[in-house]
Order: sequence, then C-alpha cells, then structure tokens
Amino acid sequence: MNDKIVDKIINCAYRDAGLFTKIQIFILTMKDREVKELYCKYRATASEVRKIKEDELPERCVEKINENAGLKPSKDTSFFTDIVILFTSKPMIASFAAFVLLGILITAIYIKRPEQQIEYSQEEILKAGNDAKLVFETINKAFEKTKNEIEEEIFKDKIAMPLNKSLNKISKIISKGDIK
Amino acid sequence: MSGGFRLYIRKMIIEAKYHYFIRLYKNKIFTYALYMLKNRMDADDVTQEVFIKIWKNIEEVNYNSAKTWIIRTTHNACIDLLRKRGIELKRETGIDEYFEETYAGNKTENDPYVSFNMKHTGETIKEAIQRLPGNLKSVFVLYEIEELKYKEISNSLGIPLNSVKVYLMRARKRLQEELEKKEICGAENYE
Amino acid sequence: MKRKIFILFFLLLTAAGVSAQKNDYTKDPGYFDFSAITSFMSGDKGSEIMVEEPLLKMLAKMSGDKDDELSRQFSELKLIRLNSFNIEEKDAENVENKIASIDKELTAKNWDRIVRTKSDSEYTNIYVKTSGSEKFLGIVVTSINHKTKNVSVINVVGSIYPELIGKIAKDFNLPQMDKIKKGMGKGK
Repeated sequence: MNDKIVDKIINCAYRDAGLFTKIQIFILTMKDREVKELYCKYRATASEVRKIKEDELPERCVEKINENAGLKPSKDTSFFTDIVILFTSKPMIASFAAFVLLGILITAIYIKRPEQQIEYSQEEILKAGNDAKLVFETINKAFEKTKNEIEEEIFKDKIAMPLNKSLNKISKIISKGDIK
Repeated sequence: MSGGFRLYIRKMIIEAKYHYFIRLYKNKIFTYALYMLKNRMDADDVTQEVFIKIWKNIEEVNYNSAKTWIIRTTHNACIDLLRKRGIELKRETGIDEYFEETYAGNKTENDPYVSFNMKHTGETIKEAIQRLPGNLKSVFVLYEIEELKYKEISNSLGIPLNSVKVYLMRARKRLQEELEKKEICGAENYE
Repeated sequence: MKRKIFILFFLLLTAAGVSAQKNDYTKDPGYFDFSAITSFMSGDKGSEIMVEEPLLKMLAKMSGDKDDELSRQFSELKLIRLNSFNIEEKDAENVENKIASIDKELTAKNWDRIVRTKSDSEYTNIYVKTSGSEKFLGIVVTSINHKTKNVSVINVVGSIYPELIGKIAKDFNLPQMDKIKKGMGKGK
C-alpha cells in the first residue's frame, strides 16, 4: 500500500473522491483486508467529524456586536433582510425576476377573477338549464334511435325473423318426424 | 425623493446588510476563532473585533467576496492575538510553514482555560482537532466544519490551491494519529 | 437565503400558472375543437349553445334541492357545447370529408365510436372518451343531414355518468324553466 493509495483511501473515507477513485478503492477493499481496515478507520473518524457543528456565538456577544455598531438587535427580521439583500446584492437580476413573476401572478389573478365574480341572472341560469337539457335530449335521441334500430330492425328483421323462420321449420320437421 | 428619505433608505439597507452578515457569519467567525485560540473569551474578543471591521467597511464589502474577506480578517485577528500571547510567528505566506514547530510546542496543560475546556467538552474528536498544528488545523476546520471550498480557503488564507489540498490531507492523517494515540495512551496525557 | 427566495418565487410562478389554467377546459381530455367544421357555416343561420363551468355549477346548485344525482352530474361537467348550422350544396362533400377526418382524429386520440347510424340521409356518429372507470370524460356527436343540409356537432366535457344522460334529457327541470323558452336552441 503506497502513499498514493493511502491518500485515495482517505479521500474516499471523507467523501472527497471522484467516481473512479471510489470504484478503485471499493474493489481494493474487497480484495485487501488492510485496505479495508484503514478505510473503515478513516471512515469512522470522518463520520464523527461530519457531525461537528459550528459553535453558537452567545447571545450576549451578539448584543455587544450590535451595541458596538450603535444598532438595535435584529429580531426576526431575517425574511425582510433577505428581501432587501436580494434586491441590493444583485439589483438588476432580482428586480427583473421579481417584476416578471409579479406580473405573471397579477395576470393570473386578473384572468381568474372575472369568472369568479360574475353573477348570473335567473334568466341566464334558466336558459343555461334549457340549453343543457336540449343537448342531452339530442344525445339521448341518438342513443334511443340506435337502440330502436337494433331492437326493431337489426334484431327483429335481420336476426330474429330468420331465426324464427328456422325454428319454425325445425319444429315442423320434428313434429312430422321427417328429418332431412 | 427628499434627501432625508433617501438617507433613511440608505441607512435601512446598510443595517439590513450588517444584520445579514451577522446572521450568516457570526458562528463561522466564532467557531474558527475558538479552534484557533482554544479559548472562549479570546474567541469572543476576536469575533467582536471582526464585526467592528465589517461595520467600518460595510459599504465596501461585496456580498460575493464577503466570505473570503471575513475569514481572512478572522484568521489575521487570531494570529495577531496569538502573537500577543507571546508566540513567534513567521508570516511569509499568510500561513506559517513553521507554525507547526512553534505552535505545536505550546502545551495545552499550561493553559488553564484550555485544559478546563478540554476536560469538560468531552468530545474526543474536537479535542484532537484542537491539538492539530495551526496551519493544518486552519485548513481542516475551514473545510470540514465550516464547509468552505478549496478555492475559498485558498483565497481566505492566501495560500495556493494545492497547498490547501496537501494541508487537508496531512490534517486528516494527523487527526487519525492523534485519535489512535489517545486510544493507546488513555486520557492521562490530558489531565 | 437566495435559494429560499428563488424557490418561493418559483412556487408563486407555478401557482400562478396552475391557477391561470384552472378553468381552461381546452386542455381537458374530453374536449374537442370543432372550428375546422364550423367554418363551413353558411350565413348567419346557425345555433350555438355554450354552457361553461361557472353556469354548470349554478345549475348544480339549483338542482341540488330536487335531485342529488343531477346536481352531482352538473357539478362535474366543464362544458356543454352545441353547434348546429346549414351548409351550401357545394360544401357538402368537403364537410363529409371533414367529418371523416374528425372520425380518424378521434379514434387516433383513443376515443371510442359507440354509435354510427345512417337513416333518411342523416349520418350520426357518437364518440365517448373513457377513463377506465364507468364515467365518460367526454362525448362528441357529429351529425349531417344531406336532405336539410344541416350539420350538428356536440361536445360535452367533464365527468359524465352514462346512466344520467337519459335522466337529464327527460327529468331535468328547474322551476320556471318552461317559461324561459325564448332563445332555446339559439345562440347566447
């Protein structure tokens, strides 16, 4: 195990390695026990290191920082601060994006609003009812016509009648005892 | 727009910017100072000092480059304070190549704050990180704990990008050695 | 922080887009555009019925007292549309071709042609868009009468309960509906 391999193992353990290196080390860990042990050791340390968070600056220090600048402490102004920062850090981009999106939002609300706010008169509603009924009557008529055709014409004339004729013939033959 | 209103808006923007920097960087500055100085009181002082500098330069500080500028200022403030503590440093490249020799010789048992903190933090890894030589520790803390990128660390500390990678690798190896040493020797070295 | 703000704006944009499209029945699977055939309308002698979602919701509300089923049906409809018009003799062949291409288009879009009748020089096709459940997502009716030179096209969009089609045709009656006869079958 040379220095290069050790470095690669450490990088893998700390999740700093590229894909090929990861594959290479993975294969090595399967083959070489020493590699695997080393990797596991570093991996364990890396996991513990990752759990370490930044230390929190005590509140009294933050107050002092504000005092030094002659400011009141900032309480829950983060969203407001973020908006101000957004517009001041990259004003052109942020403003443009904000105006476009605001415009879209207003347009969408405007498009939607009239339909919600229309009040229909009773006459309009009743006319709509009549219109709807007319359309469904038309559809229903077409269905019933088809149903009638199937029952009266197709079934009766084309299927039922010939079937009846055949059945009659057969019954006559059977009753006469004449099988042909 | 009247002059008074414009001034008010300007003041509002400046204050928002300052509060933004406080919110974003207070813990980063404090954490870095704490690891470098191993002393909460000194870390507080350095944090105050850095924010005073931020306030004085608030209008010039650019959002994009703020992070590296702030970390650099913090690092320099830590070095200045360590120097005042009587530790000789060589500052040829921003990070002392011989920091390891000089700072590593500073035994923690002589510092009552340090031994107190070490006993009572109870976190083995943190202790081991604290014991890393200064140059390696800087890079390690900035990368692993404060999650800066290589380029940001390089710009903040004024060292080449490759040096950052080398120091980081050395720090990881040294940390592992420290942890294994502690396992073998037990806690007796730290009492 | 910036990511938070941009995510917020992105969500606003999506909400705006979604809300703007909310009443757009043209995107509905049961919708069919007849503009290709209605362009053959001769003169001003034609009827158009167009009942959109807000009015259908009103109908649902008003019929709720009398019949829950009908109320439910109307509340789930998005559009009822009928166009009926006369055509010129010279356009008859073109209209027939157009109806044939509509037939192909509908079948290509997975509509089922459930009725195809021909009687007294009147050709009628009925198509339904199914959803895998018992409800239809849309109904399209095309009808051409060569004798009277009349073309009718119907599109009903929304969730349609087949068993209620007949009920609406026969039983649907709002109070005082009989009094409003003027304009029945005519344009809005």
